[in-house]
Order: sequence, then C-alpha cells, then structure tokens
Amino acid sequence: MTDAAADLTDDALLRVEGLEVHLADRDGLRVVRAVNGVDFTLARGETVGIVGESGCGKSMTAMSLMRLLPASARIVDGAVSFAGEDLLAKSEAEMRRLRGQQIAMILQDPMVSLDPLYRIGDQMAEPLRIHKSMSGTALRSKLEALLRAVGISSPERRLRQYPHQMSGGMLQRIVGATAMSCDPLLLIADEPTTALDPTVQAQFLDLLDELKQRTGLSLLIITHDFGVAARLCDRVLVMYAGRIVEQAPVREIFDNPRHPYTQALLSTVPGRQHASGRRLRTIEGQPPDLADLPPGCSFAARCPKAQQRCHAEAPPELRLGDRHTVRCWYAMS
Amino acid sequence: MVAYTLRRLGLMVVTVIGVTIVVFIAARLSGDVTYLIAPQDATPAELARIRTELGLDRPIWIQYWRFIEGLMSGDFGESIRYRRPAMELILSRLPATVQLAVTAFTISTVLGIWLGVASARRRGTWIDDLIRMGAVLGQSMPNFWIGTMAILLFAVVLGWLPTSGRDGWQHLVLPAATLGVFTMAAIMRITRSAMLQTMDTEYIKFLRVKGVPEGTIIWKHALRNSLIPVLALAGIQLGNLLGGTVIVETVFSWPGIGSVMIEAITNRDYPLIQAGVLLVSLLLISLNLIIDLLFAVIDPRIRYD
Repeated sequence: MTDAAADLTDDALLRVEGLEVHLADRDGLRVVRAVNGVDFTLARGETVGIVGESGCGKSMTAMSLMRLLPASARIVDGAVSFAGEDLLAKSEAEMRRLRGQQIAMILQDPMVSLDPLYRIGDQMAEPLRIHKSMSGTALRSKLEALLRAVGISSPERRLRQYPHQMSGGMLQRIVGATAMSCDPLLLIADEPTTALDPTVQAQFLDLLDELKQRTGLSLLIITHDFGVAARLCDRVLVMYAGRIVEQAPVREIFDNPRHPYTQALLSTVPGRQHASGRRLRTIEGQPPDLADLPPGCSFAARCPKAQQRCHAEAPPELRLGDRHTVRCWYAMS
Repeated sequence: MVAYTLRRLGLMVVTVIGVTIVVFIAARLSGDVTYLIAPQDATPAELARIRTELGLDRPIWIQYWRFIEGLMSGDFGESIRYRRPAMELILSRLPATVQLAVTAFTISTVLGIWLGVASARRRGTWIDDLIRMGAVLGQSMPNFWIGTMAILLFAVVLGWLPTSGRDGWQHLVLPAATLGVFTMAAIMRITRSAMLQTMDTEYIKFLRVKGVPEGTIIWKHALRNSLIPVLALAGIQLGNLLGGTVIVETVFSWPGIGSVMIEAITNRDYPLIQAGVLLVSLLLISLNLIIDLLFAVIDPRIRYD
C-alpha cells in the first residue's frame, strides 16, 4: 500500500457519487439498471480495483468516467469530479481533450485494440500530435523512448511495423505505452490481462506496477480476477448487480471479507483454501435481471445466509472501521 | 507486394485466354450467319461458297487458331456486315460508352460512400431512414423508367437539360445520373453496413479513448477499414455499368457501343461480337487488376501475405 492511499479523503483525484447508468434494452420498453448508485473515490497515486462478474456494471462504470458509453446507455444520475472538475458537465469537445491526455485507458484485448491498417508509430503518435502538438524528430524520439520504457527493443523497427506483425504481449505493451504517452493523471485498465497468456500476464502486471511507481499516476483496474487485484491494488471495490457491495483495503478484503458475495468470489480463486486437484468452485445461480431488480438485496437469491429481511429490504451501506464498508444485513454478526 | 502483383498478372493472362474461348464459342452459338447473308432462294452450292469465303468450312479449332493468330498481330477480323475492320467499328463507339460509364461510376461511388457513411453515423435517426428508403427505391426502379421520367422532368417540363444525343457536358448529366442510380444505392448500402461493423470494433473504441477527433476516426480509420467490401462491389458494378449501358444508351440516343453490339448479335456478325466483347472484357480485367492492387494498398495484411 502506498502512502497516498492513506489520505484518500483529502486528496481525491476522482470522486464518484451516486452514479446511475441506464440502458435501453432491445425493444426500448424496459430500463436496464446497469449501474445503480455507485460511490467511490480514488486518491492521487492510489490503485483501486473494481472486481466482479461480467455484467455487474464495472465496465459501464469505467466507460462513464470517460463519457464513452454505448449509444443505448445514459448517465441518469450522480456526479463525477476529476481533479476538481465536474466531468458530467463538460462538453464533448472538452471531454475529448481530456481523453488520452489526463485520463487514459487500456482495453481488454490488445490484439484488436489497434487499427490493423496503420503502422504502430502512426497510432502511438496520435495522442501526442493531438494533445501536445508534437511532430518531427521530437515526436519520433519521444515514441522511441516510450517503447524503450515498456521494455521493447529496437523501437525504430517496431514503430514501422503493423499490428499483425506482433505478439499479444508486445501489443499490450504498446497499448500501455500509448496510454502513458501524455503523462495522464489517471489510467483506467479494463481487464488488462484477461486476453494474455499467463506468463505474459505477470510481465504486464509488473510493467503496470513499475509505471505506477515511476509516474505516481492513479490506477483504476477493472477485473474479475482477485489475483490481479491482489498483485496491484491498494483498495478493492466489489461490485454486484450495478452496486458496490463491499469496499476495503486489499489485505482486509482477503483476510476479512464480510459480504457473502465477496466470500463466494474469493473461494472461487484457484489455489486459495482448496487443495490442488479439486475442481474450481463457482457461485450457484445467476445474477438478477437488471431490468427487474428484486426489492431487497440483489444477492439474496444466491446467498447461502439470506434471511427473510434480505428479500424484502435493500441493505444500507454499513461502515466497519474507517475504510471498510459493506452492504449486507448480516455482515456485522 | 511484387509477388502479389505478379500472381495477379499471371491470373489475368489465364482469364484473357478463357475469355477468347468463351467469346469465340458463344458468338457461333447464336446461329449460322450464312443463312442471314445468303439470298432466300440460295442453292446449297451458293451457301457452301459463302462458308468457304468466310472460312467457316474449316474445323472449329482451326477457325479458333486463326482468330488467335489474328489477335496476336492486332487483327480482330472484318465485320461480315459492314466489310470494315471490326475493331475500328468498336473503337469508334467505345469512347462514348466509357465516358458514360466512368462518369456514372465516379459520381455514384463518391456519393454512395458519402451517403453510406452519413447513414451509419446517424444510425436509427430519420436521416438514416430517409437515405435507406432512397436506396431501396434506387435499387428497385428500372433504368428505362428512371431515364424516361428524368427526361420528362428535367428536359421537357423544366427544360434544364437536353433530351438526347451527345454534345456538351449537359448531354451527359441525365444518362450518367440514370445509369448511376442503382450503383449508388448498392454502394451506399454496403458502405453503411461495413461502417456499422467497423464502428463497433475495439480499435475504434481505443481511438476514442486516445482523444482522437470524431472526423479523423470516421474518415481516416473507420472508412479505410470498411473499404474492402465497398471496393469489391464497386469493381463488379463497374463491369455492370460498362456492359449494361445498352438500355440507357437507347433511351437517351447515346451513340455508344450498346446499339452496335445488339446489332452485331442479331446479325450474327462473329468478328464484331468477338471484338466488342473481347475489348470490354479486357477493360474489365484490367480494372479488376487495379482493384486487386488497391486492396493491397489499403490493407497491409494482404500486402505482407
């Protein structure tokens, strides 16, 4: 854990309050509550992980911060402030100047993150040309330096190559270097290692860690993998059905998970609790229909500890110590 | 790229040889020309004399060989009806057809791509609906009807443009527009669907994330990535335009290759048919080569294959 994480309340780079995102489903008749009242902060230099199953709203939350939601989605409520500015009040032109410059992002699959028709150099240069008006030899040497910084040798040659001539691991480094090119304050990484081979995954996580240490940027990691969170994060937010159901420092989450969903997720991590050779555990049941959420706790239907109250009333956020919160009626006991 | 070009050129030679065989046989399948030129009461001896004169009494492969020999020395034979070199007759009419087809093609491709992009960008809005409805109309109205209506409106009622003939650029407007409507609609539709597919990719998302302006994303990245199917269709359409001007040429009395070819076929004028079809085929094959090479220019994955 870094020192910056300790004073998150004073020095929040990003503050999200009551964020709600609605999606119109195919027939446009039902409202899908993809993100359903999300609050969190991210301090300067802090690394936070949003963990949850697919469809829980973690990527929607991330894309809301970029204001790059799909056409069917809309932010209907909430506030997002970044470096003291209201992101939801900004015009599209202002947002565009922010993207790639102050808030950068890397996507899940590096093999398809780059335009197959342009050279690596052209694509890496775009943010620097657009945001920093760089060109000529200054641009060229900056690009070479960026590639060297992510451990890619003979950058002159690599810059002239096309995406299809490179491996997934190398492309992810290039995507990372592109994202870092304008020295952003915040880097959002959406499942940054899911599409990579296990050995390459570890290397890329090391690289992210190193970038973080060197530049002091804040990192928001979207993942379904507690292993990734454990490796990089200071704090973890566990999301379920569009809500944050538990948040705590990473050690606390592993040592003292209070929400039954967090406990269930942790028990599915291979190599934890279970002897090798046993089958991976999965969580019974399906997440609720986001267009038809139950009145009570949205995890109640799958929860082994659910009582009558859980099905009837949504639990409030309980504070368990100054940096650990949980939404569960029975987390106290 | 060199290997790719050579491979395409090799294929082109094979195609040309194939075309000569097909044209040669198809022309003769239209019937025996002898009966058309001989007087009605001609005796078998007279018919045989005409056949010998035209070389039609020889075995078919000898006739084909002489046809190829002629081609090698640039001799496409003499029109049976006009008694003039076939190629000369075709060449005197070809420029008008090429002018018409190329004008129609250029305008309809540029507009079709532009409308396709506009439609994809405004997916689900009334502009998208309007453009798509126009495309359905454009693809379902027959040429001769569009041409007649265009003459009625722009030449007869409004008097802006001439009804027929080939003189200045004013004469080109209506026939080119009529000929291009179908192609424009087809290009628009394929551009729209290719753009929608491209806009949904991760690399377009990553461009947005980098803060690249929307105009650059659309015209530099998304359109280029959508261009392969558009170009493939454009190649086929150009062939249809060159070979399919007959109707439009008739409606607008455009002095192109169409009427000559129809006449040649009804007269069973083998050398004229052969010269006409061969020339249009050569033109098409060369255009297809250009399009194949453009694929490689657009997409490095084809170039480096």
